Amino acid sequence: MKSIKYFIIILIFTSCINKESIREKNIHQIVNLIYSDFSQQEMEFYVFPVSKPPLNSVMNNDIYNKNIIKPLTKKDSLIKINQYLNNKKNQQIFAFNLKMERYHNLKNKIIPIKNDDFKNLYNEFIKSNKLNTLNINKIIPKNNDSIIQLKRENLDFKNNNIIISFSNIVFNNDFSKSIIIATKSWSALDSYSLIYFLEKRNNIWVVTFKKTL
Amino acid sequence: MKTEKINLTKLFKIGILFFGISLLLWNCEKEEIISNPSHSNLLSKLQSEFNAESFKKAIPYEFEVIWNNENKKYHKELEKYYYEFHINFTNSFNPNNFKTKNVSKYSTIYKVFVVENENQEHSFYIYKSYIENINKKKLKEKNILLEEEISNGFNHILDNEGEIVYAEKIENGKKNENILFNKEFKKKKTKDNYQSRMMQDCYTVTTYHYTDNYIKWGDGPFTYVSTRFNGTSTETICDSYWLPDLNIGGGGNSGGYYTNPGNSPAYEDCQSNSNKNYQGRYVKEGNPCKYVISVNPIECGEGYEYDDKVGECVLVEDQIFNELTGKEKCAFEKLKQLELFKTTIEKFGNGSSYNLTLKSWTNGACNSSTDDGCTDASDLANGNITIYIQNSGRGTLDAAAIILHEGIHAEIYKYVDEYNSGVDPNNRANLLNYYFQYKAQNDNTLLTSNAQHQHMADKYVKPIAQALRQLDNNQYSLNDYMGLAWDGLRRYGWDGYYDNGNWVTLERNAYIGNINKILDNTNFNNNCN
Repeated sequence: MKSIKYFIIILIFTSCINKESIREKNIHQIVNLIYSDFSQQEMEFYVFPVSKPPLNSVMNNDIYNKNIIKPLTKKDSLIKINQYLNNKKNQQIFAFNLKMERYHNLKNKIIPIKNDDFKNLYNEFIKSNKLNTLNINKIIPKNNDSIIQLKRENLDFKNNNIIISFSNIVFNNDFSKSIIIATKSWSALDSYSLIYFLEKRNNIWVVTFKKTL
Repeated sequence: MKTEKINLTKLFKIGILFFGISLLLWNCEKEEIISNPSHSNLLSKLQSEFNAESFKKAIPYEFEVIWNNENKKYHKELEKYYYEFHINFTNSFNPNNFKTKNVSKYSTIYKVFVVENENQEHSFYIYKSYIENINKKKLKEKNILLEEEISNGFNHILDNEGEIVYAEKIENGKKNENILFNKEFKKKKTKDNYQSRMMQDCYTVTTYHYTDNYIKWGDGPFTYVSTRFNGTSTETICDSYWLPDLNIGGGGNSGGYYTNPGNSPAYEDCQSNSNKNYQGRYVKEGNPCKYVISVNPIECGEGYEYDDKVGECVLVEDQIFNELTGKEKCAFEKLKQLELFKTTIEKFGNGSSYNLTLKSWTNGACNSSTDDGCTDASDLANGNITIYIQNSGRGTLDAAAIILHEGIHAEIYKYVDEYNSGVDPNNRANLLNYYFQYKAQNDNTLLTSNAQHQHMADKYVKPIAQALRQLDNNQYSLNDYMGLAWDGLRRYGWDGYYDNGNWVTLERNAYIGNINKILDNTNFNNNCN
């Protein structure tokens, strides 16, 4: 009888550990997915910058299309990307805020959610105060980026180009749906946040819907 | 014999030629330009004696004289030596920028006219020329060849009271022999006075009085805003022959000050009220008319704006809701005096349908705890834009920089919204091109943020730095303030920016400036509690 008791306790304990482990694993999968998207955006921002508008020109889409936008071939695009990534000066330093805590006040935000499962999960997300912590070692650098942990001294953006922070995260019971907010800051006057609605398909997280906050 | 006859004829011809040339030179002798090298100090002497202020009635605009002409000339009609100097208008409120320029029959040119007497003493006058604007198309229609310059108009010499002391009329490039001499130039002997008795005939003229209002925004030029009709009056004009502002129907030939005021909806066609059968100016029948269009420069004080319907500056119903507290509130109050504030943030105070609210730290506003400020245009459809100042730093120039940065965002949101709805027809090409490239929808997405920041990096870094420097009593060089101005824009300015229309290539991290030096030593906003 006593051994059965121990067995049940161990089972519950391992089950909890297992669930936490699954949660952590999924968190990092999602964080890597979003970071990968951010990294790609950042790289493209510099590799394919917008053209400087002609000085004192009058906005005219036709003229603009003909003269300014010259589409690159796929080969040219790849050459440009490689040239950019091979130059160490172009390395972007992403500072990750490892504390996952929601900053936004969502009460007045209108998020058009069609899926009922997501509606319920969103309600849970609004109420949730659960904090998580990221493990910097589980974030895989992309595009020649350097990844560092955000510290107080990095807040002035002198030692990093971008600060990435995440809200707390919610999952449904079977870890097939999730909601999270990610924020990308380039300076104290330049940032943006997106709320992500994610779904696991074939064991891979995909973004089903995202909206700027 | 025949050869001798030919030689005599040749000699005779040569003689006539030389006689003709001598006659020509004799006639021109007194009109030759006399350069007087002994007048090396003349210009500085004239400059010191001339007082532009005392000629305000003759030239009612701010001007400076270009003292660079030492050539003394002789005026045959006045029988006096004189110098003349061109002027430059020093303020945008001048005739070259007036609406009437487009409808006036004449262009006016002012010069300073200096008469020198036998004792080398100088008297100052204003030489005002009315040059008729040639309607080439009309002349072509009338088969008038334009091989030679056709110049018609009037030359007036005005004293410091603005009164005409001399007037002449130019027809087809030649001076008309009827000349008006007045006051000190009036001829003592009647026979010397070219002024024709005929010219002294007086008759009644109806004057249409208008006021054109020009408004000045900040340091920008005066811009025409409206015309007000002030009524008519009648007066007896005697020397009208030399005046360019009379409208006479039929063959009066004096022309009107405005070729066809009816083309401009602002001015009624005074001739339509006249007797159309009037045949020339010297017939007493008829009803000649003229326009007197005064120009009214308007600069509204702080908190006031020009009301087109009322025709004057009225107190603005404030559309800016200042809910700031602490240091940023003080910084905002002090910013109100600046040009950049007027051209951006103050635009919300013009009674438009947009409300700008400024708030201090608000829970959950902006995107993260690292944000110092942000602009929320999510309720732009209802005309509401909110600026949040989440962290004003030291509360000095850094707070002002944040307010300016976010104020520019707010103004861009407003402009694009008005442009899209056709309210604001101005084509801000640089901004709109970025909106087009990013496919920005003027919302709160990254695309709009990028488009706005790209434009701000091109156009606003220097103005922000200038504003901060002004707030700091110009304590340091402009470059030192660039660091604060680039805050939030460095990512977009890594390749360069426009400086007063010129592209300046920029290395990354250049112009960071010495932010700490500025913030450590500024006195701006230090007294705010």
